[in-house]
Order: sequence, then C-alpha cells, then structure tokens
Amino acid sequence: MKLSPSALTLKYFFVLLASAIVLYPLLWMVTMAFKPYPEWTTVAGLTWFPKNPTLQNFEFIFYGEAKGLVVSLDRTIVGPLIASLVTSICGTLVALVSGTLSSYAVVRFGLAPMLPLSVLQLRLFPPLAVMIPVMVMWAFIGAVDTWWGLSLIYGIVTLPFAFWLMKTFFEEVPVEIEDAARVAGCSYWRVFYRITLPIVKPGLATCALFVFILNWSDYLLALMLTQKDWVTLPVYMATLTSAMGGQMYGMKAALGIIAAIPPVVFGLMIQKHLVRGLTFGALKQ
Amino acid sequence: MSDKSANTPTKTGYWAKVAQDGNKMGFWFVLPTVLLLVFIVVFPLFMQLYLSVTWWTPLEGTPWYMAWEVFSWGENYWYQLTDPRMWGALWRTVLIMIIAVPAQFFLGMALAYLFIEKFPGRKIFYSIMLTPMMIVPAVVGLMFYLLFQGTGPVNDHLGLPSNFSWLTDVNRAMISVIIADIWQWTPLMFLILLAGMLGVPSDQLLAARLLGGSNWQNFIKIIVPRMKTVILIALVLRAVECFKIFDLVYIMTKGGPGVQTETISVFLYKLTFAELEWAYVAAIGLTILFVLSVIAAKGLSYMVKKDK
Amino acid sequence: MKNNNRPITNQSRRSFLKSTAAVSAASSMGGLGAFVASPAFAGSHDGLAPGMTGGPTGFEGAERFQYNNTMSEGRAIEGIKALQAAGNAPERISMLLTDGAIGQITKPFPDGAPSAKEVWERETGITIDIIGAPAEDIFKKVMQDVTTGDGTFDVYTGPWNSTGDLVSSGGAVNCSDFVAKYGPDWGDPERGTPTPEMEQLLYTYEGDYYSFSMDGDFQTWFYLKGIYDMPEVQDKFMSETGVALDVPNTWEDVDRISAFFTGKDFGNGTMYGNGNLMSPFWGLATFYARFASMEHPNYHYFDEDANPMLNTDLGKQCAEEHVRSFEWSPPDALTFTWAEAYGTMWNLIIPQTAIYTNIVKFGDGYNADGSPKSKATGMINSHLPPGREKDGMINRRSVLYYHITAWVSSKSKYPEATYLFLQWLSSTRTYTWMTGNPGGYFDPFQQANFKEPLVELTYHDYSMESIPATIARSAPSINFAGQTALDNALDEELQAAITGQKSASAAMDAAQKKWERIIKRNKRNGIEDSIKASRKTWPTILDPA
Repeated sequence: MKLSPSALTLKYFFVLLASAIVLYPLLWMVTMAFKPYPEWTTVAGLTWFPKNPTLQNFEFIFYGEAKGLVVSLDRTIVGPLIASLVTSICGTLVALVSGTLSSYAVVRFGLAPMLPLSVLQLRLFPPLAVMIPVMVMWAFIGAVDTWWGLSLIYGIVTLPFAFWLMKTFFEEVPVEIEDAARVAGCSYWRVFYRITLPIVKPGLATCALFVFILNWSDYLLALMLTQKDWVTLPVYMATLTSAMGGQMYGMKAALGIIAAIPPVVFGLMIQKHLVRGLTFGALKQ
Repeated sequence: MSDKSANTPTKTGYWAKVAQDGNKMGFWFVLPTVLLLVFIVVFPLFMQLYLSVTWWTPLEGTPWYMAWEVFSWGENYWYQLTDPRMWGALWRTVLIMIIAVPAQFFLGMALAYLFIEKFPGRKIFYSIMLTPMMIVPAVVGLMFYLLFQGTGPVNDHLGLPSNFSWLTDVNRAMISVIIADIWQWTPLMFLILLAGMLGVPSDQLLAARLLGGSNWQNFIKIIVPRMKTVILIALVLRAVECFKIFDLVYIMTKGGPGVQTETISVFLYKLTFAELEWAYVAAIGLTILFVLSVIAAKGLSYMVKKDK
Repeated sequence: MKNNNRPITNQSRRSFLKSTAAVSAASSMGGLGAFVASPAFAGSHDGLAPGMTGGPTGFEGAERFQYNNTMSEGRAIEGIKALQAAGNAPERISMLLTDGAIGQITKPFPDGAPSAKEVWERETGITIDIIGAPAEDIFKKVMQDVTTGDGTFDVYTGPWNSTGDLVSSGGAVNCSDFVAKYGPDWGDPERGTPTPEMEQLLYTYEGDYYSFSMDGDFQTWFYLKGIYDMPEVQDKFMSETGVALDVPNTWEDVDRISAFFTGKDFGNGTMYGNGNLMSPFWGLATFYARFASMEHPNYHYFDEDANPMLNTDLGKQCAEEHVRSFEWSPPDALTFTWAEAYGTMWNLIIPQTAIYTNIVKFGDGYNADGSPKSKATGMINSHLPPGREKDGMINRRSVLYYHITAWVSSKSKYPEATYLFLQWLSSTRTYTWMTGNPGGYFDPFQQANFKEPLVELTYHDYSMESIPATIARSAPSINFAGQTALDNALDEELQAAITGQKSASAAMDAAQKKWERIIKRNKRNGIEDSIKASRKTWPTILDPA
C-alpha cells in the first residue's frame, strides 16, 4: 500500500520533528564532551560544535589526569565501568532466568496463580520505601559493596519486569504447537527448551535488553549498596566534581556517552531479534 | 538446575521424571522466583513493622533491634497523616504521573502509528526514537540540568533572557522535570505500542482496508481494540516507574526549590540519610506498601476479568 | 592547554578550572617557580634541616614544615613506627574525603615539593586510599557506612556541624586517650587555635576529642574595592542614598549596598547586589549569621531552656530580611554552591559577598604566566562581618558552618594508627603547608597559618587580618545530635519562603514546629544539655560603631 506524496511528506515532517526533539539534548551532550572547559556555558557564547574540539575530557576520566588540568582523579572510570558491566549482566541473568522459568510455569501449568500479583507488587514499590531493611540485610550477609550483592538486588528489582514481559510472550505462543510436540513424545522440558524457547527468543532478547538497560541505568540502588569498590557509573558520575567544587560538565558528558554505549551496542546486537520480536504476532500464523 | 540431564527423555533419574511431569517441572521453574520473593519480602516487612512503631533513629546509638526502648505506638502513623510535607510529596508524585504518563502514551501511540508501515529511512529513525530510553536516567538528569540553566542552551535558543530560570522557579522546575521524563520515556511507550500494533495480524489489517475507511479510522477501530492488553501493560509499567521517579529529580533539582519538586522517593531518601528518621520512613514505607498492594490487587483482578 | 591561558575575559563560573590549571603548573605564586630545586637543598642528604626527622623537602622554606619528635607531627610518625613494630598498623588507611579537598593532600606544593600524601607514605609506608564524595552529600555517605557499612573507611570527613550526629550514632572513635598520649598541637597558644575555647569547639564534643579540624569555614566578607573606589560609583551612591559608599558595618548597610548595585552597570555588565549564599544547604550559613546578630551580644537559635526561637518577632524579622535579600541575588543563586557563587564575584557581577575564604585563593592574583586569575584580580578586598548597632556598639557576627572535619571511624580496625595519621595531617606544620596549596579548599584557621608566607601569597595580605578577626566574631551553627534534621527542616522552610510558596513568617512558624518535634524526640540523647552547652561557645565581642 503506497502512501500519497502529501501523506508521505506529512509523515516525514512529524518523524523529523520527533527526531529533532530526541536529538536536541543528546547532541548537546555529545558536543559538550568534546568541548574544553571555557566553552561549557553561555558566558563564552554557546555554540553547537566545539570551537576547539578536544579529547581532554575522555583522557581525564580514563587516566585520571589530562594535560593542562590541575585537577586529577584518584579513581578513574575503569573500576566503575567494570562494576557496571558485571553487576548489570549478572543482575540481568538472575532476572531473566528466574523470570522466564516461572512465567512459563504460570502460563503453561497454571501453577502459583498468586505469583504474578506478588511479583508485580515487588515492582510497584518505590525502592526507597523498603530500602532500610534491605540495607540492613545486605550489611548482615556481607553483601554491601560486593558485585554479587548488587547483582542480587538488580536481579530482584528487575525480576517482575522479566516475569511479566515473558509472561505476555508465552501467552501468545499457541498451545497447539506444544501439544503437538507432546503428542510426538517430547518431554515437558524438551517442549520448553526445544520448541517454546526458540519461539520466544525475540521476546527473550527484548526482555534482556530492557532488563539490562534498567540495571545499567540504576542510580539509587548502587548509591545505597556500594561504597567504593563496586561503585557503578551513574554513582561515579555524581561524585565527579572538580577540586574546586565546580561540576565537570565536559567530563560528565564524556562519561554519559560511555555509559550510553553498552545499552546501544546491546540494542544493535539484537536488532534482528528485536525486529523479529516486534513482528512476533506474524510468527503465529 | 534441570538442564543437565533432562533433555534426554530416555534417561532415568529424578530430573528425567521431572521433565515428564508438568507439575513437578513447574515447581522447579517457579522455585527461584519464589525464593527471591520470600528473601526480599519477609524480613524487610517485619523489620519495617517493628521500626515503624518506635522512635528509633540511628542517632540513638543503639542497634535497630533495640528499638523497643523507644516504643511509640502509632505515633509515626499519626504524624504521617498530618505531615504536610508527606502529602505534598505524594501530590507532586501523582502530578508528574498524571501529566507525564498520558503524554508519553499519546506521543508514543502517535509515533508508533507513523512507524507501522515501511518508509524509506524507517530503520534509522526507529533507532533514533529508541535512544532516549537507553540513556542512564542520571545522565538524562544531567543533560536537562545543563539545558535548563539560565545561561544554558534552552534559553539561548528560545531567545529568553538568562534570568528566566527553570530549575529554580516554583512552577517551571516541575515542568522541567516532567519534560525530561517525557523525553526519556516516550520511546518505551513507542516501542511497546509499536510491537503491539505489529502484533495485530496483517490479514485483519488487510480486511480492514478492504472495508474502506481512512487509515485513521481503521487504526482506531481495528488496531487499538486488539492491542488492549499491550496498552494496559505499557500504561501500568510507565505509571509504576513514574511513581518511583528519583534519579531525574534528584539530579536536576534535588527536590527544590524548597520542596517544590520533592517526590515521594526524594522525600524518603532525604528522610533516610539526611534527617535519619528511620522509624518514620518505615511507617511511610509500610503505608505505601499497603496502599499500592490494594490498588494492585484491584487492578489485577480487573485485568484478569477483562482477559476472560 | 596550560600555555594557552589567554587573559580571561569571560571567566565563567566553571572556567576557574582553567586558572587552577596554571596554578598547578608553577605553583600559585607566579615567580616562585624560580625556587624549584634550589641548590641549597641539594647539598643536604635528605633535604631535611638539621635536627629535623621528617616533613616536606625540596623547596625554599620547607624547613618551616619539618619536624622532629618534640613536635606534634613527629610524635605521630614516631607513634606509627611503634605501632608497626608491635604489628598493630595497617598497610592502607582509607579515607572518605570531600572531593574538592583531595588535591590538597595529593598535589605537590610548591614546585619541587612532594605532596602531603607522599611525605606520609614515604615516612610510614602506609598507603592512603582516598575516596571522594561531594561536599553537600558526604555526610549521607558517612551515615550510610555507619549504619550499614562494614568498615570500608578508616577516616570519615564531613561538616563539623555533624559531629554530634556522628558521635551519638556511635560512628566516631573517642580519641581523648590518644590525644593525651600523643599530644597534638591543635591548642598550642602560639601556633594552634586562637583560644582554648576554640579548640574545645572545633575538636571536642561533650568534652571528649572526636573531631579533627581541617578547614576554616568562618564565612568572611569580601568586596570589590576596585568598584567601590570608582568615582562614578561613589557619586551615584551618594546621590541615591545620601551617604557615602563604604564597607558595611551593619546589615542595613549591606542591604542598602545590595539594593543600590542591583540592576546597575558600571562597565562590566549588569550587576546584582550580593553573592551571599542562598541555595539549599549552603544558604543556611547566610541566614544563621544574620540571625546571630539580631540581638546584642547574640541572638541564639534556642533560648536558655532549649526552646527554638525561630518564630519570635526577631526570628521572623530575620527571615523576612533574608528572604527579601534574595531580590538582590543573581537569578540562578538558588542553584549555586559556593563554587558558582565565587564565579559571580570573579566576573564582577556582584560587589560583595560573605563566603568561604578560598574565593581569593582561586580568584585573586596572577597565574604563572602572568595572566590574572579572574577579572576581579587586584580588586578584591575584605572587611569585618556586619552586625547591628545598639548603644554605640556593633555586634559583628559571622558563622562557622560546614568546616570540613575528619573523624576516626568506629569501624576502623586500626583506630590508633588512623588517629595518628589524622594528628599528623591536622597538626600546625603539615596543615599550614597544606592550606597554602591551591589544589583544594582546606582553608586556614590556625594561628600558624596566618603567619606563613606561603599562605599569605595564596590568600593575600588583606585576608591575613580579616580572617582571624572574623573567626573571633563567629557564632557556631548547629552542632549537636539532631543537627542534620534541624538544619534540613529550617532549610526547607526557608527555601519555601524564598521561592514565594509561603510567607517568611509562616515558614518560621512551620520550622519552629518541626524543631520542637525534633528536640522532643532527641530528649533522651541529651539534646537539651548540648544546646545549653553550645550557648557558652558564642563570641561576646562588641565593636564600637
């Protein structure tokens, strides 16, 4: 079905407008990361593109110092970067594995009918409403400022998301396919592992992406459950102030770009699956 | 746990039996989630309950389990009912929710509508549309903090004077936060809704077209009713996340000016680490827990009924 | 980059980083670069002056910061050696530090010298592991470690005001025994605090030693003498107000000057009235200073029975004046930390401000290449804080607020060694050496600091008199258990009033209520006694008008 030229123009107009709105703050951050400090505010006159582009901001966060800057960092981005990666991935695994398994059991075997509600409730609460006991508990089991402690809480807080998302995907898988496989002599496990799971693979990927981004984006939990060894990127960013107390916007922007890369790369990696996930309904035919 | 041996049905042993028994396998499937739930719910609940009926703060210098020494019955609960700051924070949270979530929904819907059919460049624009939600909210907070400075680009590009402050103005601070939230989370709506739309079988779309009528009418009549569940999930997800909003607010305004952008989460954070009113936080936390549970139970049973 | 320092015509509030870039390049004092590795020191085998056993080396005047075991620093090093011999010393000491102060410990100063960290590590072999946190958030982090941490940090730092909170939550080690054993020189009549009372105020809580003073946060008044002296400004002020423009003696004078400058342009762009801190957290200092001078000799925050006095007539008047003064502040002032506030003076946007003293450390004087550190270079001067006039006397009051303070964490496994590190760091020789260092914001407050040429070069001659005089006239802000809650409660109400959500009077009523509740709750912890005790630490100096 072809659109009329005027409709197409209109469509492009809106799409471009939306893209402009999306890109405006982003572009600002990206160019900021390449600006030397005199160009950070209007005082020198704002420009979209750096007048004297520099890699100084990146150099600074990776090496802890940069040529021409008196301020230095004792802790570079490397530690927080690793911490963010490790905890986000482990957290995603926890959420995805338990969420997928349990939502399948709920959908297919009708087990634990209360589980969806209970799980949803978990996601409902502002973490801060229950954070004090969690902190006390984490301190008690020695999980504060460890990679597994943070991964565990990530897995738990994103579990409802994984669970619910997977539940909707499983619900859309026709029972007939599974029944047919059962009749053909497959065990329940084999049906799940060989038939259903491949069908929901795009959903699984989408789900992993979401959960990973949620974990990667967390600021609050890491703020409360880490101290120094496993501080994650967003928390690290907030501590990035200069020796004189000014906010290091260029460095933060550089950090922001780096923080944005893994989720975007992740997204690109599974883009094919994403598209398949989005056309999931067509697969039913 | 079960993937070691279960995929070969001829083998015997416990796991093979599990693989053949739907209920048993279901039990093992559900177990990790249940364990995690119990782990995260039971102790915190009791501790909250205990602390909430005392005056205890870390300043007491005694461990929290000695809180009974400052037992205070329902004083915290009573105080919470009469605490204008708590009500204010709640109202502001709801305000953000009732403005930002519908805005995200309609924008996301409109965007998704634009993207149903293929057009040249769709893929690129699609990727662009998705980026905001991939950015760490803390970074988004920083970005908008920069944008909304009096001497920042927004005023510059809109031709407003540099004393037209956003983040320190009583009303505009809230608007700034809401704008940032809409910017970041419309893509999530867009993604979910588009997925829902594309999930509507194409033969139905074709049928709708053959029946005539404009695209828009088809959209409303045919597509929207078929993606009710998706819409519901999208709305619920966003509303829930929005209720918890913290990072954006805390980084952009720290709840200021005054308490003008203080949401429930920011309020609780300050109470926990600045005022150190742990007992009071426990009381508020439990109340929120209770109220939201009731809402969730109602909502879910409504959804279940609708599904059937 | 560093040789790229064009004259800064548009020193923005962020770009002061740039000036400090040059600072590190060749010390803050322009010509001092010439002293690098002077041959005089090359002769001595370890660079130490005769009779000295430790301290920085490699620059002219280094001997002033060297020590032996008759001095506080030397005793600390000796103590560490003894602990090490007994196997009771750690390999690392971890320190949670306000991030802007890190450079003062880790940056070499002046040229040719090692950093304080290097000297310590060289002499003791104990590595210092510094973790930074933003100044206004650091105490949250401290309390987080106290309540749920597992001894991640040996040293906490944070605002002096929070000592009470930390002590009553059991987070800090009582160091009285160590103090008796190792004899720090904090109260040294020649070199330490100006009075024994000041030592008590800064280093003790309820009679015991807990805190290590690492800062000089007595808000000091600075003004642009260069602008006040312009004939055009003088004439205009005279014709508008009927009096000559001079440094203010009273808060009425301050407000008059603020009103006059607001909206005027004397060739440097539109000016605002003053750069006093008004933002959340930092703005409390401005309010407390005004509050303290409402009555002669002092107007306390609490009466003698520990009842808050916020909603008294004078309290409300003070709040009204405070809120009104916001009219004369730069529009973004509510988001300013002190760093941005400094920028307003450096860019000649405001003529006067009561603020932390390192504003002149970073913004007055010249960079190594001869360029001025800011537009305000050469124009800044300092005066005594204003007060109120009564019977021919003026009660000039400033306030002690924030004031980076270190504590030994009660979770530290090596409290004694940690104590010794802090004694070494905060004793008058090491500390004087560090305050001269422009790499961070530890400010001078010990007597020895003000006699030190390196400090004078960094802070300028006018500060050498006005800061000690301001210290003598400074009232403490709140510093007992419950402080964080009290300050936050007041802060929120003040911010609400400043942003026009309620009247100043209603804000004070609300704050009063909150304070009463907090005090009621903390009764068990002896808050009333602390309040009463704190009244005794207020200054009583009155100056003739």
